Amino acid sequence: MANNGENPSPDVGGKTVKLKADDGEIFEVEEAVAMELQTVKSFFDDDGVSYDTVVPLLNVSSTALAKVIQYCRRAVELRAKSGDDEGANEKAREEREGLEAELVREESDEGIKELILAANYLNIKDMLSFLCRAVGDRIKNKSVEYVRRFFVLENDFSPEEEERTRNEVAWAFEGVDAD
Amino acid sequence: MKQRTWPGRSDGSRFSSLPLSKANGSKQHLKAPTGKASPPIRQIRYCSDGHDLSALPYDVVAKIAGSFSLRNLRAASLVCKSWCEALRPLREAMLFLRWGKRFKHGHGGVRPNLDKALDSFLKGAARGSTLAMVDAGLIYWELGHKDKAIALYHRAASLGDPAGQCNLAISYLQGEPSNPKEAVKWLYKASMAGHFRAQYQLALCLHQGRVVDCNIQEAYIRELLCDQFAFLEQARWYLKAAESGYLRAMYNVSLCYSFGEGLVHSHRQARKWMKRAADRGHSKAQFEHGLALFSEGEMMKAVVYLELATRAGERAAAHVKNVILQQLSSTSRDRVMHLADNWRALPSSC
Repeated sequence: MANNGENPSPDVGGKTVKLKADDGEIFEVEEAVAMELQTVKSFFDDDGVSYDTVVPLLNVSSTALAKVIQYCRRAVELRAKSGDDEGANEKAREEREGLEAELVREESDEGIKELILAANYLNIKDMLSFLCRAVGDRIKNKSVEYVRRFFVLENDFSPEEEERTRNEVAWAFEGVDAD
Repeated sequence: MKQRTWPGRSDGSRFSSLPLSKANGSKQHLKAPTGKASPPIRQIRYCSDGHDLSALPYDVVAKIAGSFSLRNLRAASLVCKSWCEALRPLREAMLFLRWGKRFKHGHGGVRPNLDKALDSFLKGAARGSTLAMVDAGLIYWELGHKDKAIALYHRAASLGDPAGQCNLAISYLQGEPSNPKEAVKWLYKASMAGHFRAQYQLALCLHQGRVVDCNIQEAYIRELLCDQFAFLEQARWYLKAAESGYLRAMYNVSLCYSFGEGLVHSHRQARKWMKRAADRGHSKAQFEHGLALFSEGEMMKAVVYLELATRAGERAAAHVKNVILQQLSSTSRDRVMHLADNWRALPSSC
């Protein structure tokens, strides 16, 4: 695996794209990998912008960007491995799921939130999906207060609003059978 | 810190996760000041106007809560105003789920109507409720539209819903041709999420040797599920035996219900069987039942059972019994002894 934080240089000659994180660090990535980030793809799709242009990703930290690139690189590799062969497809899919599980397992709560924001901003559909599922699992069956602390959110309901919402929500669920 | 949504709700249209949009031209496009044809300096929109970047967009919040149960959805809706708003479609989905169940089972004052049920479930599914997806799938399956059912199960399964995963797996097992390998993958996921039926089904698959070549950590799974499977088999035997009057089986059935091992977790059933065993002379059951009565405040009854248990040799029962006896009047104590002396075990098979 590429080193975290360090600027991983592509090992194959071919078109590369430069991405700049919020702290100014530049990441040079293969074009195929960069296009996984829909935001970046749109950036270049317009008006034939030169691929030499450095893409400024001012809302993404270099830590997050490094991890995103690492994941996307592996995802692209695995997709290349799968093809018409049913067995190869399966194997690739399993590997990708293993990759996702590993990424999620190692991340702190802070880290995973940062990755969600990055994946959302960069518009990486698959990555956003599994990150959201992972966060969902982390806050499942926890109290309202826990969720607020997790996402650093303030309770901005006034007492009356909270009561009203509580009633409205309770009514909505009243009588729904347990599964 | 004031939490705000991003972007602002004044956008009108439902927020999409793409910060750039060619259609709105929301990106800033700075041209170089000189007249020469130098490439424009491109920028991707940057939120620098004080919006709290730790706020999540609505659709991301909805994705996070996608497979939440009712209880969790309720809690999440109370986190803050923007979450409440973000989860509105999911709550609406729950309403449709509720209506769907009413139409399916015909309660809440409505007549059973499978078509209306399906319609409601599909509306719920469209709003992102995985529970509704699974229920819609179940109706399609019943009606014979297996491919539609499988598609819905697949959607729910991909979103992490254990019931969807379990049903998808079963449809693979029952498919023609059957695909046990794929089934086991989904059963594994659902099992790890704690889905009871999936765990049982997975144990069954492995037990029957339906999947020989498997990439999963088979040893770990076998161990985990053999216990589960063993509990199930065991519990079923106990229940049979208990119903035939076997004393020890009654006691064991009570424990199974109490711990939810092999039988569904049921306090009521556990109590019922413990009393049955106690009334037929099982000394440990008398102790347990006595304790249960004590915790319910039925002092007299409790101490009778505890006295019986003590007489049968349960030393631990004596200690609790004495604690309670001290609280009783001497008349009551006499009455207790009288009851214990005259007690006769109900008949049992063994």
